[in-house]
Amino acid sequence: MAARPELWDFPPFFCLQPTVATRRKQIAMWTEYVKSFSQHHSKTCINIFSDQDLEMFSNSKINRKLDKAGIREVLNSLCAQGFACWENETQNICLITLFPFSYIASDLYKWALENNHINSIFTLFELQTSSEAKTYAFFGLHMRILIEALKLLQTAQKVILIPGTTDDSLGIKFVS
Amino acid sequence: MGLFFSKPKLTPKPQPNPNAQITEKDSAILELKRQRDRLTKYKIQLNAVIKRETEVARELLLQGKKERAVLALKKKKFQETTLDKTDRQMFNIEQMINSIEYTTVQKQVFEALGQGQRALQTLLDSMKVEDVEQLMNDNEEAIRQQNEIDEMLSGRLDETDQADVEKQFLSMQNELEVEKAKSTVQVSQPVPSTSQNIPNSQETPVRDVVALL
Repeated sequence: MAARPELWDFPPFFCLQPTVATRRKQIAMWTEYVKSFSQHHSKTCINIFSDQDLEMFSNSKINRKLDKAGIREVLNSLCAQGFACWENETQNICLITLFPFSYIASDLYKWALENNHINSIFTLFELQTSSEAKTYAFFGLHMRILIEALKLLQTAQKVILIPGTTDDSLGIKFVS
Repeated sequence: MGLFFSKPKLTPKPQPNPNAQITEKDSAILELKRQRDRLTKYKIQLNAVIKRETEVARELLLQGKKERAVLALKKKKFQETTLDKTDRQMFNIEQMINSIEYTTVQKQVFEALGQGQRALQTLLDSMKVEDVEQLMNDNEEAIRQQNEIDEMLSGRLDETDQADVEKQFLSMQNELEVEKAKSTVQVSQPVPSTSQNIPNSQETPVRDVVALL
């Protein structure tokens, strides 16, 4: 069972607090809960408009649930921490990862180093489905998550990205 | 994680990294890989269609609609031949990718060999044949001088040690004669009266030695 926050049965927990300090604490508790819930139930994406996904934000015992604005804030905070990202501009579906993006980025580069792929060029499709990568954290992850991790690597100048026509035709060159 | 994502205190001037550019070879390989990805996805599609057609054919046969079942199987066959062709194309693409990468490796080997050869040439140039000859001649001259000095010094030494050497030589000669005489006397004398004989055998050689000196 995922660790429910202490204030789970406390109705104001489900209402975005006006006071800045309280709100910050509230959002922090929510983000921790969302993280552990997703890990426990192996949830990788949350669709704001799907009732099934919204169950995790509601407590039927006290008949309260977090509204869409609150959910959005919680998920945005999760994105800021590097554990999630929105699938597209409309921000309806949020993709959640077990590991933060920085860890995935390091793992990608580690894979490139260990298999001698520095200065080689790959497509994103290849990275996602390559059998070589089975023991690594990034294997089989959603495209958008991999792209976020790769963007981190790009700012660290460890990789050059060549955008293509679609998401998975993104060219990736690992550099030393 | 801190390895990549923490800012260093003093950022060194970034060196232009030749590998940080996208070369023509990189673009070529990327395009080939993209094509390969498209073919992989197409294969997945074809496989799905084949599976569907097989199921449809089975259903139709169960319902007794033989001609339609045959038609479904024909469609499935057509998809399978397309799948084969796609496989072959993918194989060609993979071969092309491998050739490009192998040729890159070959080129690197060639460049490394060239570099090694140039280094060897530079070393040989600094060691000319004439210089070596001169060096050997100088060496011989020095050895010759050394030998001369040696001879001169060793000649003087010989004169002073000559008497010493002669004395040592004579004493050694006598020692050997004593040992020889001892062994022959012991052999000729009979065994029982050994106690009497030993002093006798010892005496004679000593008297001889004294006579010689």
